[in-house]
Amino acid sequence: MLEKGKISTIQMEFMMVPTIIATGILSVPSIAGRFAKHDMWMTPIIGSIIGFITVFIVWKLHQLFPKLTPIEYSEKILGKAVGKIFSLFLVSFYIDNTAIVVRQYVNFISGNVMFETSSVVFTIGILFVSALAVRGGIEVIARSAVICTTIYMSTSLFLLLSIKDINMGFMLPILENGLLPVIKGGLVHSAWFSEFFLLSFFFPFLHHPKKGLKSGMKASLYVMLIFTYVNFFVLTILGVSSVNQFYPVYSIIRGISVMGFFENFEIIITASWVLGNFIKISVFLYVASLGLAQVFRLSTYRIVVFPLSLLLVLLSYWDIPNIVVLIDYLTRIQPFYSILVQTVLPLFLLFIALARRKRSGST
Amino acid sequence: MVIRIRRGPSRKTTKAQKAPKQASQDIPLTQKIEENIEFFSSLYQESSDVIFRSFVVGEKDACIIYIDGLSDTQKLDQQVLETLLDKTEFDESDFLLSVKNKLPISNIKNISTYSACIDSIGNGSPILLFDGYEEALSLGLVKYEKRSIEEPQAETAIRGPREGFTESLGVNISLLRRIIKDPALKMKTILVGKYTKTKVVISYIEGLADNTLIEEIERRLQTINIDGVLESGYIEQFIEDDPYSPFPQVLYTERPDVVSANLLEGRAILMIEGTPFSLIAPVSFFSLFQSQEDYYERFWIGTFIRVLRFLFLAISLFLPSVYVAITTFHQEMVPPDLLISIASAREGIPFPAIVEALLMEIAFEALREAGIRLPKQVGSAVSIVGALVIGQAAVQAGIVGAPMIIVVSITGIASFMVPRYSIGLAIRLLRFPIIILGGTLGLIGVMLALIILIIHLSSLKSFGLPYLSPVSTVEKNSLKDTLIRAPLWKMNHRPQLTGEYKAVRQGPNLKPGRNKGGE
Repeated sequence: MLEKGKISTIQMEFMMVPTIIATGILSVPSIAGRFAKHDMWMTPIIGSIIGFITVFIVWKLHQLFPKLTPIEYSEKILGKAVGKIFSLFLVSFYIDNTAIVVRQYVNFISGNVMFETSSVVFTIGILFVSALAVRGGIEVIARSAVICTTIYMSTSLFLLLSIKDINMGFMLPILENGLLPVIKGGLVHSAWFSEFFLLSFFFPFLHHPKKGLKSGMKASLYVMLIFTYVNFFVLTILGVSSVNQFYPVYSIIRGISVMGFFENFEIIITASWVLGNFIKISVFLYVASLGLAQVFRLSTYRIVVFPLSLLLVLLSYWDIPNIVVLIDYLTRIQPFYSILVQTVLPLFLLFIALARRKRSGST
Repeated sequence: MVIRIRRGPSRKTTKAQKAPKQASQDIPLTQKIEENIEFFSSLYQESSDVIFRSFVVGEKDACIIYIDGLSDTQKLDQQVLETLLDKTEFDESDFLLSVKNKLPISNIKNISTYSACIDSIGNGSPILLFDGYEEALSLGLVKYEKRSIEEPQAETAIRGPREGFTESLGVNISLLRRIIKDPALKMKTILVGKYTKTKVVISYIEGLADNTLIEEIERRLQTINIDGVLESGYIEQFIEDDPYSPFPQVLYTERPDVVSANLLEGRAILMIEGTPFSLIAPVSFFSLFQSQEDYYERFWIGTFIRVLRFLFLAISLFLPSVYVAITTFHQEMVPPDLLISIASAREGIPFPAIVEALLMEIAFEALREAGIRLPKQVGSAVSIVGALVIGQAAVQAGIVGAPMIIVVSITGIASFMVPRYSIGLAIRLLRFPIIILGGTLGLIGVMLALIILIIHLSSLKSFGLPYLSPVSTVEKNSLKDTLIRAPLWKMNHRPQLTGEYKAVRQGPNLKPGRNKGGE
């Protein structure tokens, strides 16, 4: 085993929640809103279906192969050669995804807060701290996640300060154009919810593996509630016009003013988003490093962390030229790509594994 | 003849020189008293304070060896010598036992090796040698000057016991035994230090403390191979998990009530001879923010002060760097009126905010350190000069802005909010790199510093206990005593430390009320 640490189910929830919402909260509301318009508050509920399904698939696979990560069991399911190709693909998918997450975060920081500092400073900064955490192992990530997520989530209460500006009229008429636009918007959320496939890398390291399913479902539910909460505020404060903004939540926070003195909370929110993104990038980097080490059967994954981070600095700039392309990618490509890799392919893996098991069981 | 005399002692001195090195090998005493005395006199040559008193009991040669000033000579004269010289008849068949029976001393032991004798003399117990016996008697007549029990200087309390530990190990142990009377309270002694041979007592409550923890502490103590232990800090630095961390992984206290509370929670205590400070292990980050009075006062106050402490921890760590970051990068965050007053105060100041902050923080640290080390009469002069020159003149001269003075003072006050001095030191140290990060990367830099801090604290362990537990491990029962202080009748469980532990601390349904005990 490359990872000797153990985490508890609560720690896993603390890790998974910011892993999904950290980047999701930045721009998903407006992307989903582009399809669903004034029904956008429902999109996370539709999107979460993929989340629950993914958790379930991952859980079933985990039950078939306890103590193994997808990299290891895909070889057992698909055979040596095909399994190797699949796991290599999975690892490169996560490396690529990490780079995109880093780019989303850095774009946000250098586009809204630190206009003059070169963005590469923030890329290196966040990857450096994430690499530090990943080198510490899953326990260190989990323990930091508890603290970071608590701070990160508590700042989302700032949204409540804008409660006096809410206009429920923006939500009407409900389901004017039928369910289809909502489903389309939900699909955007599904891309994020499909990231629950990452759980398959954590289930083997749980103290009490039996509680894994419940905890995964709970995490999925929390993410759905938070997305709904955020979408509700985006819709009722900014209305449908929010779809024209890259970072609608940021706009709301900017507008908060209490007693004419407590205002401009956006820098606090941004600072706390750094914490959330740190957890997200750490989790992704951890999975990519662990996966890479397992594919090549290295004796430890810690040696690949820093080289991989260096590669990610470059990748995050190669992949995406600018924010317009990024938004386009998030709208048109990622929903299908992510769900395909993280939900559909595992489903096939599960079917093959079940079929093989049944055959070997009957003979 | 001359040659023989010279050769005689010289051979002995080689043996004697060897003896301390081979102390652990335990060379047995010989039957001939002359050889034994010769051994000790060569060992203690040029030590005028070691006293050899030879005399005859019945027909046997005897000798008492002790160090002047460590033993109670009055009792030695009246109780030992008088009895022995008083022509009392001793049973020849079992001479040692009969001597033992006749001597009115409660603590008397048979020892049979040179090293044990040396230890006994060094500790202040005189040894009694008899010709023809391979055993000596160690007489427990230790008496030396010691400080009386006083109120602890560094940890004062408004409500709570006023007794503090002293430099004497025996007194400290008795203070502890007086609080915890159960025989489950164990004391294991280990000698540390080649020359000081300092007694280190591992104290724990059997059944509450994890056995593997005690074994691990013992193992770490036994690997210490140094010349001497002068303070608990020597021990602390040799048994830590992560020696490079700025954070203390062992807690020290001079209050018996704090030690007892920790013993009852299943922790181990190290009491060290010669210092009033006892070490507590394992500890977590949150133990450093617990003060004994949190538990003695009403829980609302305890909780309020806890919350306040964490708030001021954040302030003392981050306030200067956040100020630097905001005035340098995020001016838009400050409300306009405040911004104008800050800007007007900073107008004409030649330094950027980061230099200003570093300057003032270093000046403050210098003032603080000077105030501690100087004699009391001079110390007040330093603080007057500091307050006037740095506070007043620097602002009037336009070198530093007034808001920066306010920030530095608030930070200084905030750092005194922490009940444990050792964590305050870590915070003082960490403030500087955070200011630099805040001055270069703005609030994002401060956040990166916070993340690095969290990662470091998450990877830190104190004797196997995660440093950020129970918060980072999310243990519901133990969370009642971290950021908040739950009512005592609610804290039914001991905090989860390492390994096996007895979870239940007290009976259920202890909540007092009007209807308690029959209407």
